[in-house]
Amino acid sequence: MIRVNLDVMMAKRKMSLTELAEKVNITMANLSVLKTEKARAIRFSTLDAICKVLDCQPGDLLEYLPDSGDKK
Amino acid sequence: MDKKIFKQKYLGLLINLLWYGGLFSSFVLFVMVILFNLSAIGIVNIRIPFIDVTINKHEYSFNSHYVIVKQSEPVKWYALEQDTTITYLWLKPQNVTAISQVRKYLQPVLFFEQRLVPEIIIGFSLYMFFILLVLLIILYNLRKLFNNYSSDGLFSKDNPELLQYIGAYFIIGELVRVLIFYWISHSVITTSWINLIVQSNIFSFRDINFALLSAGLVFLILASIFRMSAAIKEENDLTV
Repeated sequence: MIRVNLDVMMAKRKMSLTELAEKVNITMANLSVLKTEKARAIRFSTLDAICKVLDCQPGDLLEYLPDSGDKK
Repeated sequence: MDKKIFKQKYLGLLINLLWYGGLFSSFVLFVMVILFNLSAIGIVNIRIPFIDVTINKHEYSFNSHYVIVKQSEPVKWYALEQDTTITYLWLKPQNVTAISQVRKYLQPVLFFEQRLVPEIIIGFSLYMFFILLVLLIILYNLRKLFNNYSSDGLFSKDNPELLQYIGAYFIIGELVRVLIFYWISHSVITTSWINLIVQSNIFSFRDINFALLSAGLVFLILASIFRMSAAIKEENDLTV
């Protein structure tokens, strides 16, 4: 599965959820969906915007963990 | 954008009107038919307006089932009420000699010796109640569907299930209605009337309403389409 390390980057850049949502221009609902790993897909445009705002690479945000037998 | 909302209000009004109107009118019809049947049996003496069972003096027909009463000289029959649309055939007990065997195993109602025709009325009232029940269920599901549509949008998760219910009730209601009708008419046939009455009962395809069956199929197809679209919508909603 793909883990989203958004809270780690947000803590490093000292940004709150609402501020990030405002800057990236997505809704709070979508951001919380992303944060709690309920998202099925992410658009490149969104990823681009988040990386621009948090000044990081996609690899800092997304991490691959091999499934230990359980399916999502 | 405003026009769409406008149309939605009218559609909602229509569907709610159909549902509540159907509920109310089926209740009223239920009461009227009960009173009608009681007056046919003779318990109550009420004249019911608006119930229209056209039985002429000598003929009665309902799709492929017909009853013709031939008048013959030695047996007298009396019409109870001639100025309504129903003519009850009343046969006095001393004239009735040929009524000896009754096949009870297929009769949906009790057999009264003195009054013969009201069983038809009672049987077909039950038949009508079944149709009303199916109609009410379909209207109820349609209303639920429309409320879902207004609030959650067209492709919510429970819409395919509701459409499946509607389609299933169309098909099941139609087929069961045909069976009930055949059962009732068969039981009317197998009562031994006196030989004034010529009856027929052939199971004909004319009695099956294929329009309803195909409508049911259409709803089942719609259900599968909506299931796909619900999956696509969920995918889309969870795309950030």
